[in-house]
Parts: sequence; C-alpha cells; structure tokens
Amino acid sequence: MKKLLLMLLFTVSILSYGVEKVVVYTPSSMGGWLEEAVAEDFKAKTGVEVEFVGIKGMLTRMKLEKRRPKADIVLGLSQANVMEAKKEDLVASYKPENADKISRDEFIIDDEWYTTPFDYGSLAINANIKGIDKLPGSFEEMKGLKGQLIVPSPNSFTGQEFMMWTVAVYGEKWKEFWTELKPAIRTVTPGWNEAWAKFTVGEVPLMAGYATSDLYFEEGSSYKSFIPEEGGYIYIQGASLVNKSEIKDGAKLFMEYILDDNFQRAMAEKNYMLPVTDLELGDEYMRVPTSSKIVTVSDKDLARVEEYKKELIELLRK
Amino acid sequence: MKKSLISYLYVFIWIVPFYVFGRDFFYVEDIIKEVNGSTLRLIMVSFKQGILTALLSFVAAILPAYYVTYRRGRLSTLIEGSIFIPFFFPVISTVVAFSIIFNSRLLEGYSILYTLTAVLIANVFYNAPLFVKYLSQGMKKIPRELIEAGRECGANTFEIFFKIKLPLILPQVLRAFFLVFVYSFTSFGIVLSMGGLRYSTLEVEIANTLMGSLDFSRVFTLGIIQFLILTGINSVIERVENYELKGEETEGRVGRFTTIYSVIFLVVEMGVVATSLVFSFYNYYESRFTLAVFKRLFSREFNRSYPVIESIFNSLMVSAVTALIVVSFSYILLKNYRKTNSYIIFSTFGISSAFLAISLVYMNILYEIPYLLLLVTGYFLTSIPLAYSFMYQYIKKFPKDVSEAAEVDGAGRVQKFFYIELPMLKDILISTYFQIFAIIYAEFTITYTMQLGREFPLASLVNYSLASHKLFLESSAMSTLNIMIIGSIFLMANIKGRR
Repeated sequence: MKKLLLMLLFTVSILSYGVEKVVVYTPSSMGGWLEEAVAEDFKAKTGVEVEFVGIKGMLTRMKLEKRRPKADIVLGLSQANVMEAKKEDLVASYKPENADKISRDEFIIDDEWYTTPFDYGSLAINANIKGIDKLPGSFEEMKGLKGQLIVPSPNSFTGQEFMMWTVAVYGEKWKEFWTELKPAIRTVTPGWNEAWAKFTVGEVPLMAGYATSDLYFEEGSSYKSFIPEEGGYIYIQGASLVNKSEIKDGAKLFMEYILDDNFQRAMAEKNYMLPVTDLELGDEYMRVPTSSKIVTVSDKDLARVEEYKKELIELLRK
Repeated sequence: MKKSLISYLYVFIWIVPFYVFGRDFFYVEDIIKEVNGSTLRLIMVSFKQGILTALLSFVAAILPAYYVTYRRGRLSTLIEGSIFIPFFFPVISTVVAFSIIFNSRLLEGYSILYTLTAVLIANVFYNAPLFVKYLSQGMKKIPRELIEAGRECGANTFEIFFKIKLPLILPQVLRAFFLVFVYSFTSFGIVLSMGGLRYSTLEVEIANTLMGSLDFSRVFTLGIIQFLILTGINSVIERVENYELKGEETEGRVGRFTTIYSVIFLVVEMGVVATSLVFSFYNYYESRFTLAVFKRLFSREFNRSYPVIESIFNSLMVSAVTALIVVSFSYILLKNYRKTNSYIIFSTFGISSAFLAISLVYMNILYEIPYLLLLVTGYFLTSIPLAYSFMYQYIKKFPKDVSEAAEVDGAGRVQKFFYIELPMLKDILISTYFQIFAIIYAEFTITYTMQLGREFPLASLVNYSLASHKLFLESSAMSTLNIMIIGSIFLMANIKGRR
C-alpha cells in the first residue's frame, strides 16, 4: 500500500514538474555497462531517469560532497564503508518496501538500513594454471611464492576487502602474514581493473580477486580460482541513499529497484556477482568455487579499517 | 607595486581553491601528526628518484650534447629533435611503449616492470633530451679562445670539458638539473603504472590518498611539504647568476666513440617512440600488421565504452583556448617584469597538480563552477611557469630603444603593441602557443585526479583507461593519433621558433 502511495505521489510530481532524474554514483568498474543494462528498464517501470557516474574512491567523493551532495544514491559500499559513512553522516537510512525479497538475513549488513545489500560474492585467488607449476592451496602455501601474485591497493574496494579477509583469518597476526607474503607480491595496483588487466595478459599467474571471475572464462580454460583452505570470505555490496536535505522520491524508487529481478540479473551477468534475492541462475554458476568454512571480522576490526589500510600500505611500501 | 599586481593576481588564482579546501578539511594539529617516519620515507623515495634521474639523464646526455655542439648534419638535427619527448610525448604513450618493451620475450625474464629500474629507465628516456638541449646550448656559447687557451696549457679533451666547459655552463646544467629533478620528484603516470606502491612519490601518494582515504589533512600536509622542498631548491638555483657567454657556434672534431654513442642514444629515444607507433599497426597477439585497430577506434560501438573521438575533440578545444590565455597572461607578466615575479612564478613549480585538481573539484561541488572552467584554470596555473620561461629572454630583452622611439613618435600603448611589439615577437608568441597547446593536450595528473571521464572525457585519460584495461593495440593506436596531432603542432612550433 505504501509503495502504491509512493508511486502515486511520484506520478503527480512528474506531471507537475517533468521527468525526475536521479544520480547514482557507482564504482568506476560499473559505470558504463550498468547504464546500458538497467537505465531504460528503470525508466520504463518508474518514469524516472537515472544517470550513473563511475567514481574512483567513493567515500572520498562523498566526504568532499558532504555540504552539497550531487549524488542521490551510492552503490558499492562495503560493511566497513557503511560504518565510516554513518560516522561521517554521509548516508540516510531507508528500508525498501520490498526488503523481504532479500533471501538471507546475513546479507543485511546494517540493522538500521543505512544500506541495502544488492549483491554479494566470495573473494578468491584467481589463478592461471599455465603460469605456475603447482597451485598453492592455502594462504600459508602462498607465502612460498616469488613475485607471482598481484594485489589491488588497500585503498581500493577489492584491496580493502582482501586485507579484511586476512584479518579474519589471522586475527591480530595479520600483519605478520603480510610481511611473509610480501616476496610473493609482484606489484600492488591502484585498483581491481589494473590488476585484472595485468593478470589476464599473463604478467602473473595469481591475483587477489573474486570467485565469480571464473565465469568470465570458458569452462576448461587455464583460468581457475580457488579459495584458500583457511576459509572463504564473503563480502556484500550495499546501496545507500545519500544524506541530503531533500531525498527524491525517484531515489527511493531506485532503492526498491535494486532488488528487482532485472537489476539482480545484471549484477550476476555483468558484474559477475551473486544476487541477494532468490533469482535463479544458470548452470555455469556451479563452476564458482565455494568454501564450507567462512571467516568473518568483528565490528571492532571493521571500525579500524582505515587504520589497518594505513598500516598495510606502510608495510607494503617498505 | 603596480608591476607586481599581475603576479599577485596569479597567486590569488592559486590560493583561492587551496584556501577553500583547507578551510573545510585541514587542521593545523595534523601537520605534527603527519610528520612521521612514513612521510619521511615518501620524501626520501621522491628525492632518490629525482636525484638519480637527474644524474643519470645528465650522464646519458653528455656525449650527444657534445656531438650536437660541434657537428652539423642530420644526426645533430635528429638528436636536437628528441627534445619533443619530455614536453610533447604523452606519458601514457611512454607507459604503453615500455610495458610492451619490458613484457617482450627478450626482456620478460629480467622482471624489470614494477622495479626502481623501470621507473628510472622511463624517467631518463623522458628527461635526457632536456639535458642535451641545455648542455649543447651552453657549450655553443663558450668562446673559442678559452678552449684554445686550455689546449695550449696542455689540457686534454676530458680536462677541457670538466675544468673549463662544465664550470662555464654550470648555470645551465643546474637549471636543467632542477627541471629534471622537479619532473621526476613529482612523477605521476610513470610511477603509478610502472613502479607501483613501493615507489610512490609524494605526488602519487597525494593522489592515492585522495582516492582511497578520508584523510584530507594528510593530503594538505604532503602538498605543503612538496611545495616547501621544491620552492627551497628553486630559490637556491635562482640565485646562481648566468655568465654572459658570447661565443660563436663552431664546428669541431668529434671522436668515433661519441658518434657511435650519439647514434645509440638517438636509436633508444626514437625506438621507444617507434614502439608506440608500430604497435598501433601490429597485432601483438596474432603477430600480423593490421589497420583494423584504427577502424575500431572510430567505431560507434567502441566509442560508447571509450569516447575516443569526443575526448580528442575536447582536448583540442581546451588546449587551444587555454594556450591562448596562458601566452597572453605570460606576455603581460613579462612586460611587467620584476625579480619577485620570477620567484613567484617559478615557485609554483612545486605545487602538487593532484592537490590542485581535487581543490578545483571541490570548487565545483561548493559553487557549481563548471568543470570546463575549472579544468582550464588548472591547466592555466600549471602552464604559466613554462610559458614564462619559454618567452622570458625574448620579451625581457626586447630592445628598449625601439620602444622608446615609438613613444617619441607619439605611439600609445595599444599602437606600440600592434605596430611594433607584435610584428617583432609574433614568432616567439606563436611558437610558445603551440608548445603550451601540446603540453596541455598531453597533461595527465590534473586530468586523472579530477575524474571527468564521463562528464568531460579528455584524450590522455581515455588513453590511460585503454592502457589500464590492457587494450594495448587500441591504446597504441590512440597514442599514434595523439603523437600525430602533437607532432604536427611541434613541427609548426619549431618552424616558427627557428624563424
């Protein structure tokens, strides 16, 4: 009923003022294809235009825009990012009407709904078996490698989550692990895009990335990801309303739309991530490696993510 | 005071974005927090890269400079022509070319990429031609009788170079040293793509912190440190007085080793440029030559993901307009010359472009100033010192008697400009315009940090995007287009300059 009222209110406002447009900030890797995949469908369903802007360093941009936000919605916040954004008062709370479509309670990373999950995935080590004699099976075995691994910078989303994975596995000794892993690292790239490019042209046989990246390659190719035996790490990406004095109705509609089948399918097929709803996926998703053991980080560690990032960058720079 | 107003205006344009940014995000107490071992290490890494690049570039350039000084002919012309590399060869083209070279089967086993060696090789490639220019220009002006006096006293070639020529051209060497040091100290694109995190300079750290952390105070502090260091060095260099050398250009004997080395120098410099050109026609993966990449570069489909055409058009427009403003402003600055003006203008060499860029973005956020205007402002501020130095000796040494004669004849300021100064200075103004045009066209730091990829795509950023997605063929093809554009502009500038 509430949703119907919202739609009605929105239709009236469109008739009075013309077509509404919402601005959505996305991670830079999503910018182009997301517009093609969902903009028309969203407009057809709601009458609202949407503009996607790819941003490198989402939280930084949000903090810069705190006094005069330009975006209505931001996509791609991790649990740690949401904590930081809440602390800085950058996001607003909003629970979508269709939140019951979220298939598992564990996906809800913020009880106060400052963010709504829209996809999830498991981190993994992407490997090209052609470039390595014997694949390591664990983080411990990875320590013995020599310059065969690429990791994205902890300043990037993927790099940050990879770091948190090691925090989840090693607890307080996570920095000792990185010290021992350093000889295995060929280079630290600014973000996932650069790491993926270097990995796929064969500069290195291993990179810290995503389990679903296997879907990018044909079955039987030399590319095969694995999850170290210490345990897998699930990360969830959330969408949040930007904290502005006036939150557009179209923005709220978009928050509903992220749980729509079309959006969820786009995330699975184009973003190589898994849906948070019960959307059925093709057989190829059976190829994505999983782990029976899942490791997590405490809220205390999540709150210290910026501090950890600094420490790790310092360690990698030495 | 009146003469300094124009330079104060320039400083004011610099200060406004920094003031607005600092007002909202900078806390003085953070300076103390940030002066720590980590920052010191960053300074050391930047220093190391700056000093090593300057020293190696100097050593690499001595013999070619010697050859250019004493020999005329095609080889000299080609070596002198390599000066287009530091100013006009896009940094992204350099990165793509070296990535291809270091990943080639011949060098793959040496693992050069992501090491200090990779950064230094690319930096020396970039900066050695600068030393060739400064050294040869200096040596050409050394009076012949001084060299002959040295010979008569029994000095050999090495002694003449190190004991007579080098001390005489020291001011030029120091100026080149400073320029190369600044370029390497603030190196961005090369370090970002070929060095990685371990070799981050202050400039790269500023950009990375801006994109991945909320610690704006750290950015501000690092920006101040960089400014203080480079301004300090500049003020020392500025104190070194130039000798008034009035020697005539003469031809002389050049040893076989110098000639062979000069040929190798030219082959290496041009080889890197050629690699970039060849790989836009050569499909690395299928081992065959093709023009298909160029076709794809202009296809509608490809341009939806990578706006190549739009970015080239935008870059041409922005460069054309900004270069005009820069040349006009530099002319006014030089017409109102004071020593303090020079200090002010050259001290801005030390300001972080990445920091400037993010401050400009913040101006857009707060005051809705259009990105285009801010972009032009950013390019304007960073190009002024270059245009100023290009035009310096021509405008400062403009014959006063001609000007005074015009005044006696009753010419006003406008008439004097249009009928006397413009016809006489036309060539240097046009030459500087083209040089600044090309520099802005290839600019990367401001473009990358402002992240205007979709709102206002520019050629250097689209090319970086192609390279970072390892679309080497497309990136090389785009580099070729850029080189053709910049190359033809450089030629025009060169022809004008010679006249």
